[in-house]
Amino acid sequence: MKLDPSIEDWTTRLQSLFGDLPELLSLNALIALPEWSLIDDALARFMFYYPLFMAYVWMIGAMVYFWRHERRKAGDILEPPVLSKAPKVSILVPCYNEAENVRETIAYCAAQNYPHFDILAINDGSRDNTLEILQELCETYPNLRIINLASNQGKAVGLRTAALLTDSDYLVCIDGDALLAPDAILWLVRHFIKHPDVGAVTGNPRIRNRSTLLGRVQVGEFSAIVGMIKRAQRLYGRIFTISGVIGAFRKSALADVGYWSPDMVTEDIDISWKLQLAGWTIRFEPRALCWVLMPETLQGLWKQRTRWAQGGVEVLIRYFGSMWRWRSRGMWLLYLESVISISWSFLVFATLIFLPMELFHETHRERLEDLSPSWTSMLLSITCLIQFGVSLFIDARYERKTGGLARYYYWMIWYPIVYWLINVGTTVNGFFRAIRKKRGQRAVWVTIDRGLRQR
Amino acid sequence: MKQEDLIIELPHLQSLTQRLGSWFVSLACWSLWIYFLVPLVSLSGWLLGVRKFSAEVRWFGGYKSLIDLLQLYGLTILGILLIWTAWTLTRNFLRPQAPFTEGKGDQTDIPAALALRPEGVRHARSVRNLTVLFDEQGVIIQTSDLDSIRAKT
Repeated sequence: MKLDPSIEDWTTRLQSLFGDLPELLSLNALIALPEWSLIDDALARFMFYYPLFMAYVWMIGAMVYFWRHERRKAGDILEPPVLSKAPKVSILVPCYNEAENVRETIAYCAAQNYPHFDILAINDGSRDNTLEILQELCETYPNLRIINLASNQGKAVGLRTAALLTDSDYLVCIDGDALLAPDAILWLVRHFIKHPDVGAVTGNPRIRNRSTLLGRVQVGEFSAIVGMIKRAQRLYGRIFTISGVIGAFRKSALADVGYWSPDMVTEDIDISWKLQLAGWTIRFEPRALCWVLMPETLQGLWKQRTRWAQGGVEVLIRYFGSMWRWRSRGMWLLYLESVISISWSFLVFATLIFLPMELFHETHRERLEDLSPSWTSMLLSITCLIQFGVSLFIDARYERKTGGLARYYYWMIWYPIVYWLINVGTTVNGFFRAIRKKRGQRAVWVTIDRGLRQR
Repeated sequence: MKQEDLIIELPHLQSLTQRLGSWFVSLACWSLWIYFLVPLVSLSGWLLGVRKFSAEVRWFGGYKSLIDLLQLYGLTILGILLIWTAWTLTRNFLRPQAPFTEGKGDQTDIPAALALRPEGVRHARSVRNLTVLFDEQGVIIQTSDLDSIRAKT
């Protein structure tokens, strides 16, 4: 086959510079380079120490947050705050095929311990009888309104439409299968009243379904990882994302940034970045509880986590340009940490692929000895155990009435082993999905696995 | 509504595959944890004066290398703690970055977004059961008041 003359020319130039090109590009030649061992060593250290380092960053950040914001409130979780005023709040509940859950969700919303609120249930072109159930519920709950979208538009458009069709200044957005704790609005709204710079407040999602290993591990994950990271990020002053299942918004802040973006696969991550890049503050309120259903099958979990990872990458791509502004400096560390985390996942993924090959490679067999027990592996394991212990200590107060969290310590220890592997896979998968996605393509609802239920 | 009812714990509904999967993962993960924590057992035994653990402690790199590693960990943790504390104290003196305009855009952008007159918006906001129609780009093209439709029929 005859090569294009320009390619031939380049090949000759490269060969004169670096020698035989195919030989240079072969794996063996790369490994034989003297610089390779240094790079290899640095990558191995990064792969091992990065999660360890970040574990301490999150853990210490969460402990400082606890000491500043939660320590003195020990025991008064049941005592709702007293507000100087009670502005009208709208609870937005986007529903897509929620016939099975919506009655319970609306019942919990209606039982809010707050004097001035209404509920806007958004039926987003459901194919089941969600609309009929909502119309029936309208008879029972006088403060329930229905916004029926004639065709399916996606969560972002649904939320935006409802936000425009309410005269409340504050919106609390929950999922169609989430159960809002009775004092949640009080805890969320107090931030808006006290601090005019607060554009949004994210609540504390708690897992309801705990029948399987995956469900139980997620209980630990939401305490040890999600709760801890949210506390640490709040202390830092910027939050990667509001929880899509429970978030409260100042409507003027939403209007300021153009509401939710319909073309982002995770509208919650996007709105968090939009608000913070516009200078609004986001707060975390651990006392605003919301009980949620999570996937309990590997397939369901894989889909959900891929979507989250894709959403994160989409946001990093979209706001890359905005990062160069001095005004965005508060988000730089968050952006950098996200990029490093994705790079770490790719590195682990590559290692997992090459590891079986190395098993059969004479010169690399000794490197596998690194996996044998050592002081370092011992300290890594102890770090994980401490991290889980600290997070359970901080978070357990919010589950005293539901049996506590201590028993989940037994399940949490699997998180780093099982979950990191799943998250590495979903990050890589989500990354490529985000890259492949056409710009402006509308995000649509996906079928969600909600765990084992008694039918 | 009892808080205990919020938790769904029905392990008997698991399939055989889920049960076997859980069992296998439990076994594998516990084994791995115990494997990685072997040095802790050796160290504890050595500190308690059990002579046969001396060789193992030496095999893991010796007591000195553990002390060096712990020093490194300690300094890193102290550094992180100092940075967090300094940051927390500094943030108390920093003012918010953006100008905050209470209510900005709340009323003004709505008619354009809804393609409705302000009185139409006011009406739409007072309706309890509203259907909204969109074009292909997700722009609202029409709203219909189901209650009033019902009233006519």
